[in-house]
Amino acid sequence: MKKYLILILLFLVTGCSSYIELNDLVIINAIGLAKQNNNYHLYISYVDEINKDTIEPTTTVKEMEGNSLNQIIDDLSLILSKKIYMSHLDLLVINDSIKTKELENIINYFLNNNETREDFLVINTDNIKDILEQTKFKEINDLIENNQRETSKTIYTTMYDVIENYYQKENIYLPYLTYNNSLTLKGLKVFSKNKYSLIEEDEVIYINYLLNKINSYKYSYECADDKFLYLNILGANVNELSKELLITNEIKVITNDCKLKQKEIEQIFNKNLKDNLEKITKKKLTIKNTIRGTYEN
Amino acid sequence: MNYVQKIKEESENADDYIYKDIKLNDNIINIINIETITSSDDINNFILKKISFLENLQTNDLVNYLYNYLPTTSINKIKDYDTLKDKLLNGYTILIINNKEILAVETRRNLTSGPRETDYEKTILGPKDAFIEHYNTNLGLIRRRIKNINLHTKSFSLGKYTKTKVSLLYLNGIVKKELVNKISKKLQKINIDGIIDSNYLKKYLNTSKSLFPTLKSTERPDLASEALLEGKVLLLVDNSPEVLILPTFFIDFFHTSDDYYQKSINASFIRLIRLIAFIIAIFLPAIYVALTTHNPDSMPINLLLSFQSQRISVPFPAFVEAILMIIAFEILRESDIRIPSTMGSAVSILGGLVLGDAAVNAGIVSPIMIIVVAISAISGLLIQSIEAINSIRWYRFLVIILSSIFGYYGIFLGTILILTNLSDAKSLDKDYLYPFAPINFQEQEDGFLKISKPKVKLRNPILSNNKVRGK
Amino acid sequence: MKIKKIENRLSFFFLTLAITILNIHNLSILGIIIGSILSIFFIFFMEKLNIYKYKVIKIFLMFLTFFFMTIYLNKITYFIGDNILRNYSLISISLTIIIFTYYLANKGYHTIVKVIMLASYFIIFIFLIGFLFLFPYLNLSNLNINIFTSNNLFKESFYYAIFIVYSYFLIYPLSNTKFQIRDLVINSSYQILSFLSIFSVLGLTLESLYKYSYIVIFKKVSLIGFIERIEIIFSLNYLFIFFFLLVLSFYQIKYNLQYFIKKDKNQSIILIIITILIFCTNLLFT
Repeated sequence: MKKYLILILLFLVTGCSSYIELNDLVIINAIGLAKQNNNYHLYISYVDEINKDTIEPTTTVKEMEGNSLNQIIDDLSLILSKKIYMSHLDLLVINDSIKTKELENIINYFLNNNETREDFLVINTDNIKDILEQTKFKEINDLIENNQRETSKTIYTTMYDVIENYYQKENIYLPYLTYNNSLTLKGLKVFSKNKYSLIEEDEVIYINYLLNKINSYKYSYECADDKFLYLNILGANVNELSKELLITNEIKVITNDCKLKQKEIEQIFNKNLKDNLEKITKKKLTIKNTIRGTYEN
Repeated sequence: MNYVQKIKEESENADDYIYKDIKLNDNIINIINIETITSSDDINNFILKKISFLENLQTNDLVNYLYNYLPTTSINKIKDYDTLKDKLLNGYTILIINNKEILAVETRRNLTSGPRETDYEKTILGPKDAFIEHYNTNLGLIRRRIKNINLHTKSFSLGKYTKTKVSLLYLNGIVKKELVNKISKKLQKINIDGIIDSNYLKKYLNTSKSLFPTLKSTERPDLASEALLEGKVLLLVDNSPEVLILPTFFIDFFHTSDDYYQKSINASFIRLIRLIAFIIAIFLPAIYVALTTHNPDSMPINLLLSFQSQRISVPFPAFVEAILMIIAFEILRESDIRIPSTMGSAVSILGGLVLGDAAVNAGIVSPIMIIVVAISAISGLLIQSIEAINSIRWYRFLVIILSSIFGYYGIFLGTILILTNLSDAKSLDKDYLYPFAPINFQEQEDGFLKISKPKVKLRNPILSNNKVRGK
Repeated sequence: MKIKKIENRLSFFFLTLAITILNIHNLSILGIIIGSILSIFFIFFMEKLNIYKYKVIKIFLMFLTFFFMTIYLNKITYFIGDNILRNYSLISISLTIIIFTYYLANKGYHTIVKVIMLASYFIIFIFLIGFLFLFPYLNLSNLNINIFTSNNLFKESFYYAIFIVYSYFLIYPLSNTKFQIRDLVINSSYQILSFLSIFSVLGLTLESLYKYSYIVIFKKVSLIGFIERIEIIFSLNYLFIFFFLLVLSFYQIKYNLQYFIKKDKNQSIILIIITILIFCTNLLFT
């Protein structure tokens, strides 16, 4: 009897304080952050309504202002009179106004919040509001994911990467997107030394080489008039030694109009790679290739 | 003492007691039997007819003469009045010679029909016969399967008024003698008015507090024989179509007899399905409640949105909804058992299809809740024992309540409670969860998995010292 | 039926794992290696002297266990409050877990070990799956020399040795089994492996940033969007292990109390102990 009494008392005392029904949650799926005149501008996109048949959510974007992230989110909870629920956050959009100090604020907020997972995508853009209002997360995610996988012209950056790079004082790379009636990917924004700088799409490949994140990409070379050498680089492995970079490429020849030999193909490809990599690193380069496909012996 | 007079007095002249006096030369033979449980054909053919031939008999020792003369093997000389009563009530015909010496001749009437078909322990493969309400037939069904002189029985007559025949059945040489002695002692201590069915004995043999049954009853002779070969003890009770198997382990509820009649890979698969169903039956509603009320972060966004959209119009909290649905299911199940089978289909259509559909359309319950409770309820029916099914019900309620208060942490607490409850249980001082805790890898070859061809098949070491079962 | 060696070994394994994980920021790989060698000497020395038979040692152990329990109850309460039950008052969490600890510890050593054995099927299965899921996320370039070295090697190895000796006392003298070096080698190598996998997935920087890095690594896992958000299962898994640490510690106190206090007074003493425990964990450490 004592046992049951204790249990019943316990339940009365605790009072289910974390009990919350699903419909009392505001599911936030994306956040945009900018800074103007020492104030944060927070764009919050949350699920407003769900179509019962297709389970397609309709999102609303709300713009708020305040001096810290915590304060704005607390305010939002008062306005919507529901529990703010950040655990399914998919996207964080920032612009160039977010510098070291603000980044630290963001990182602290997410590190101290156990509810969130830090695996959401972080992107950089100039028109935060348009991107949040006009596009869906899936579009952005697919665009970046596909580009990274097929062309290696961008880097899929999650909050984990941002936090890690921030604390190791390394460059933070963010995909740079613009919205002008349609979504376009315009290379990478690099944040280093409290400054953003843009890297063009073609250069991103070589950044990827340095980070050993290369997936497949295509390379073309005009060997004669209207005659092309098309290569598909299926993947590359980069070993970083103290004073040397060891690069192993796996290459597939797609078109070889000039009927080049294996050695010639390698020479052309290696020269291009070396030229471009030497611009961004001072290490010695050693390149090895395995070539598949059609070429003359 | 006049025996006839005394019986008449004690039975207050019950009208199915038949008294007949025969005068044979100088001797008087009083014949007493109870009409309703004796066979009058037997009495006429083997007693009265034979005695009528003895008219000119010249003997001083009529008792011994009759003892040898009457053409039956089951004839006893009785010394005292108590045994006389006992025999009379067991369907014997009593011959009282000169009010001194007594003979009892077995003339029991066969009140039951032959073996029937299995009812609630159905299998596709294997024998279909089942125990009936007759002790000798039941014993015969087992003796027909195990033709061995070592199949011993130990009988008791239990119940102050019913004098029910209860007997222990075991294979000498396989079973551990301590087990038989322990059960015998427990049976002898029983002090009860009557034993109507074998299930009456459960509470006397069962000392464990566990919600899960620690004794199993079966209606299948093949399962009972298999248990004997493992070194277990059977408890046969007269007038009961169920035989108790002692001791019973947790794993026994996941085994059916046709697991042994098919390829072991199929048996393993179906046993794993039963285990998964057992876990689903207990935990699924609780997980749903925990997900929707405490830890929505642990489901993918699409699932979360789907749940959220379904719950918009539901007026109750998820916990109340779950409890309502489970109770509704229990009502349906109970009504299905109680009403005659001709009306059963109408009830299931009305209850299951019409009510369920209408409740969803009216927005009282969410469709996902119906799915969750239905899966959990159906999963709970995979185990053949009714008692096990009922215990699953209690575990389910416990975990739901804990999870509605504490979310996943409540499920963890519930798991601890269930595990402790099961680990603490003993079936006749044997660890209930054997061979999982304490572990025995050898025995686990026939646990939730069934290994096809072990080199040497061994018996359960805690049941038998006679280890090797087959090579 | 007697409890076999394997159950005791398993309990020892879970105990050391729980303590290592709870003190993950105070330990390092090199510390584990040196600490386990140290602890072998300690244990053999103690076994030679048969130290457990002295009453002084029993009293000392009781207080040591009590001390450790307050720390661990605090840590475990925070673990639950941060990972499973957010927005819940910590005192109710520690109250429930201590009540369940009391419930299980009251059932005796055999039942405790049997529950551990049963739970281990689940725990080991989940850990295996976890490693399988983590495999694509292992980044060997994160494993550099920095993760082996540490600033405070002496302190770390000494800590680890104390943890091992502590968990030795929770299992081996109570179950009358003999300690074998093999057990310790298996445990320490598993712990080194888990350290390596955590470092390999997160890297040194992120690992030091997160309080629960052993949960965070599973936050990264998702299988093609189909199975994701599985970290709650792993936190339950860790919770089981932590719970067993509490139960065995509690049983140690209860068992040693029997030598000094009569059985009928035992219950009230234990209730007082629980109250002090709750008080300490919730008020002293916050």
